[in-house]
Amino acid sequence: MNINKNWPAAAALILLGAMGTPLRGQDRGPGPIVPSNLFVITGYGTVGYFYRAENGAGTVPSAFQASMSPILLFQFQDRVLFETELEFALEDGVTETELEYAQADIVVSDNLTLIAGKFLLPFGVFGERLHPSWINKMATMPPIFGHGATGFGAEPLMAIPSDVGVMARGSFRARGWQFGLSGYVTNGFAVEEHGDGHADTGGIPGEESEIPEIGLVASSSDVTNNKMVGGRVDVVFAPWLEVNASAFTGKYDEDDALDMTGFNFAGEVRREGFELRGEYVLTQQDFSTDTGISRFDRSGFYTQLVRRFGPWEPVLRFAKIFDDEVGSVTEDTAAWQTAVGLDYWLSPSVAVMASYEFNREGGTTLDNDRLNIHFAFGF
Amino acid sequence: MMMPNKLLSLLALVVALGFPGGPAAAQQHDGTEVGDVARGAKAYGATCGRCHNSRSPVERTDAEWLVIVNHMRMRAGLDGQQARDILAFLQAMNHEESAVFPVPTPSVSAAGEPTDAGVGSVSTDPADIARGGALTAEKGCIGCHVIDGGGGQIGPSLDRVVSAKGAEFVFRKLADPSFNNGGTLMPNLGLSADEIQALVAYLASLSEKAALLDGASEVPSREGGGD
Repeated sequence: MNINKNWPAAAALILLGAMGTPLRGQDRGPGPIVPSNLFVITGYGTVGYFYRAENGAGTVPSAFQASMSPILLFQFQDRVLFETELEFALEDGVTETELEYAQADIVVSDNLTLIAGKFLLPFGVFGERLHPSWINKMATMPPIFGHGATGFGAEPLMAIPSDVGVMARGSFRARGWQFGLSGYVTNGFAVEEHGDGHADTGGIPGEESEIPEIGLVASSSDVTNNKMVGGRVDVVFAPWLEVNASAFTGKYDEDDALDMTGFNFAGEVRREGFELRGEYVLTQQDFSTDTGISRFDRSGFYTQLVRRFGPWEPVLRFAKIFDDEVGSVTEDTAAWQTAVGLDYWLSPSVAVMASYEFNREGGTTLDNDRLNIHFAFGF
Repeated sequence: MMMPNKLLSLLALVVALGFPGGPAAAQQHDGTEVGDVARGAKAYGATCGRCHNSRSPVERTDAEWLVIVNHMRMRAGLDGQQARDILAFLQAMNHEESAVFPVPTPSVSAAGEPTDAGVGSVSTDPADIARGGALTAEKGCIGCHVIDGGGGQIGPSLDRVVSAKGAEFVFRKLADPSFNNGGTLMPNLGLSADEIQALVAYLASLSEKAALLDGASEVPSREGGGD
């Protein structure tokens, strides 16, 4: 379905909504006086070393690593915040630069904020809230997220998702519970292609030519001219219990025939010094076949358990990814990871982290075990 | 599943209606605008602590906290009142003196042995005990700790903390929460010496009360959790 016909009207309504609650930064009555503009730098970084088992074919056996992600915040009066996060990382001798997000947050009311620009998608909670390693409490990301060569047997289900568009985000409390609602429209998916114009089929096990690899990569252009829509619902039942449900969907082909849809369910429990969290992700991608349209499903989950003992914090993580080309999930198509880690906290935002990952892939004897020692810091 | 254009229309409608919170101008002129320090302390532990360790209020200036709280409001899904409460707490605890408040050190007796006197003897004055009880609410301690049978679950219960850990530990912990654990979740509250004295008096009274309830002269050490 093409949503472009509705787009101008929707944009006008959003603008109208924003105008209906005018910004009154200089007319706020009692309350703290806010300087007209403020600039703050914060962020996080990691330096470390990993060693991977030798029979992880085609992978780097060991390496030192470093990355730094400054976050630039510019507060304009009391209702507008410009946020930008950059990532600098050393990859194969080249400094890679990434624009993680660059967004304007416009506070409409106590319960509503409009966001425009490139933002982290509220799809699950890991990508938006937990991905800095000093917050994640492990040197590596859960395998269902992450960038390319994570050391895990299977491709991650998706990178930390971000895109360019507009989002409305609300938060309110009722009956002792806290609710969060987010809805967004973004440029959406793109089919990653080779230089000769043919669709890239990499990354989808078992398919040689028919399933294009969908790049959920943010772009200021929209080649397919189809927007993606999505959202998330958060419910905090108590300070120790939160659940989240998210979804997105969009067309990715120029004929408006092929859907890419994702679902995420997440939850966190914190009791008696224990912290247990997890996420489940399901992606469904249509692709063309000789006989019509078929669908390729991938799913996976991770769960992480943490217990604090003074400055020491043991971490246990388990993750599994299923590739389900024909509708039947089997162990043969699964890859899984068991990771054990130990963090030592030097301050609330500085830690030394050591972890060992047991990475396995169903149907193979591939051993991608990996040792990580990292120094993570937030500032 | 709801179709994309319907989702888009719903999103636009929600925005156009200004969401359940109503117009911003009405919010700004009512009495709830100003942040509340005690509520902020509770919200700081309950919301920020869901994802990461609590940062010390003295790490940033008041103006920087204003920007950072707005930044975190988006991440944590806080409403405006929660954000103002947390900001009020961080700025209230960010007094200059809190950063330089001296950690009490044990006095040394004539024989060279440490004594309790240096960390302040535990007051039994009812006025101090009452003030300490009031401070646990005013400073938001109850947001994270069980105190006198009720409260938050983020930190350990304080009902027996004095008998279990000793008065000196409690004095030092209140003055500098990171003295025994650099990565503690507990923020530095910038307490004055008088406030610490009152809090320890109150917490000691709770330990005595717990001992009476347990029906034993020796209170068992049950405060193993947390730091």
